[in-house]
Amino acid sequence: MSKVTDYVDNLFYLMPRTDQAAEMRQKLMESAEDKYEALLSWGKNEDEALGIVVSEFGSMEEICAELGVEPIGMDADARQARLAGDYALLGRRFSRGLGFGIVLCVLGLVACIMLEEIYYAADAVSVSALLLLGGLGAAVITASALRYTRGKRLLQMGLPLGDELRERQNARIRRAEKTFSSIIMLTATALFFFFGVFMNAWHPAWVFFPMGGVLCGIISTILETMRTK
Amino acid sequence: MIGSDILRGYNDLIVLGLLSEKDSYGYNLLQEIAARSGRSYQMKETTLYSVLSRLEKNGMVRSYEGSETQGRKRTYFHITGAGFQYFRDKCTEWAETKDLIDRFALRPALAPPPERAALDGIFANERSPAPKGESK
Repeated sequence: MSKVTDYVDNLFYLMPRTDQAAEMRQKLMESAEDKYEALLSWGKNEDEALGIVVSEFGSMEEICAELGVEPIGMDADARQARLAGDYALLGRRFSRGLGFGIVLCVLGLVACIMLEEIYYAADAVSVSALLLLGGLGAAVITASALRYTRGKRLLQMGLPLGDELRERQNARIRRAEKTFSSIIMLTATALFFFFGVFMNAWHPAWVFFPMGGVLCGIISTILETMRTK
Repeated sequence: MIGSDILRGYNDLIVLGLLSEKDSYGYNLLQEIAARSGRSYQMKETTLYSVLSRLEKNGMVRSYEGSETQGRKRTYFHITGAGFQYFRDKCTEWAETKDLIDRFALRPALAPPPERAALDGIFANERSPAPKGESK
């Protein structure tokens, strides 16, 4: 959708999900879109048009009052302090995610080398361990980078990473924890049977289980620390 | 540009006044307000919609979905009987307010004769550009 939709969506991000708020959002969106299109048709470019729409949009405090919702961060000082805190939090989260991702990648390398040199495992086993851990590390890095960008954009629009957002993020982390563990253990089982049945390598292949277990442990610990209080 | 604080109490009147002529939708109302005020008042989107939402809650206006333009739906607003009554009350209130404030504001015609001369001087100065050389 257009930039206007994004803008209005962001303003409503922390609003309660009521029918009334949804209706208000819809109407404001209609009018802002109308204005935006009109400005474009008068030869303004997208950025100019968005600038005008935003400058004439007004303040969400009015809408909060109308919907009977407590506006978030009415006090300018408190808002400033909160914004600074949120930026710091965002930075901490990002570096934690980055660190965890790098640790996973290194772990993949170590596991690969150990399997090759100490356990004399088949190449396929060690390479899959490397790919599994390395891929997971890359995924963690990408996810935390994406989250960082999203959070930063939110903060730039003057919206705090509110409690609701934190709560939702925590719920998402809990879900992710479950998904990760089941995927890891399923993969371990699949790899165990695959190498056991097709390569008759039951003996070195059992390491997938303790490896999976350790991985689950690591992930749940890290995710636990990623949960915001 | 007239401050929105001063107009706060009269946004209802402005919106109802436009709706009393014909049903309309958000962007059109904003355009109309800007145009009729000679661009001296640009109502904010959030102001308009909090006014409309309050009026609708109190049964002064009704909203309905109008014809779709370019696949986008558009919400039209219609003034109700109660809305007309409220509009008339608001207009009376404004006339009284205007009359009251006029008694205090600088108006040469209403001032007693000695002050009138002085006020006329002030107004004359305001109307005519300052003589050259005296400008500060």
